[in-house]
Amino acid sequence: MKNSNSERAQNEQSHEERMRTDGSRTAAGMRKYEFFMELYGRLEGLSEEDRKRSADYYAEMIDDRMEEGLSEEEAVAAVGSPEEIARGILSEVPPSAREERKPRKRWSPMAVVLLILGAPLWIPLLAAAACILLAVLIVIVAAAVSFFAADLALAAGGAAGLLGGVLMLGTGHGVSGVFLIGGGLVCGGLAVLLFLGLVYVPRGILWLCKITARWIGSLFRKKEETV
Amino acid sequence: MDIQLKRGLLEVCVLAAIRDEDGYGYQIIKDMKPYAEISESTLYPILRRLESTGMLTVRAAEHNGRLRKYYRITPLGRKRIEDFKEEWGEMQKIYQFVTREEES
Repeated sequence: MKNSNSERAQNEQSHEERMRTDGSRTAAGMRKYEFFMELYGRLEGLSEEDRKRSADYYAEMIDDRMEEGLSEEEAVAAVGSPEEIARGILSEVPPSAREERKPRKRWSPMAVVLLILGAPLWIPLLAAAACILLAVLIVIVAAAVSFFAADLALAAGGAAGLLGGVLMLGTGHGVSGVFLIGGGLVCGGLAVLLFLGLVYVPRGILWLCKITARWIGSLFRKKEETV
Repeated sequence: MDIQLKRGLLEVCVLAAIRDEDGYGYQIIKDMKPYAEISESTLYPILRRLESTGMLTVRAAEHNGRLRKYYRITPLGRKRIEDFKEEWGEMQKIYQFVTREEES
């Protein structure tokens, strides 16, 4: 639709002219494929994300101009040469975005020295923190165990009350029987509630921890982006 | 024009171009044309900076079988425009001072 035979012949001709007059390439007569190959290549050193973003932006500009009636070559020429564009983009990028990957893994010698010198301080502190964590863990486990034990006791008491109450009813002691049954039901109900609590409360606490960690993580990520 | 000054002015121009409705890149260039000439390569870093400072947001929408980026102003961007209007008063005073009559 766009390239009729005469246009295609013209394109080939301009391509040849371009190759003929000087060995180097000029922007006039360049097509999209060439433009993006060169632009992408010149943006080496940038992150993949930045390169793609730049390419998308110029692709959109070129397509928009083509929609207005320009030919592919004219549209490509209108947005500028890949060399100038790449130079502009690279000059805008702060040095941190470019070399981000390399220095992060290397430790500066100063930091290493400080780390070693400070070892008598932070090693005991770390050990103390670990012990505290262990103690907290033990307390939590102990609490859980005692809760479960209490639960079991309640359940047993409830069962005993029910059984005893029924027996009493059977042997004619109606009032005491009913009383025991009532007590047994109360124990049983408490046992069930306690059990549900023991199952769902830890789950709820874990969920709260997850949400809080995610929220804290997002705070750090936001700080990185606004730099 | 001084580079820094021009950049700041162009930034607020771009914001003004999308003040009333979302715009895409080429449209912004066309809208600004009667008032300020801006090339694609000048517009690109301006859009990136406006996005990173939270003055506009970007979304992609389908148009004629391809994806187009549309830019929308944020309340922060609107505030920038308001600040610019205030700054203009100061700029006028400075202009008056700079162009005052020479003393004989």
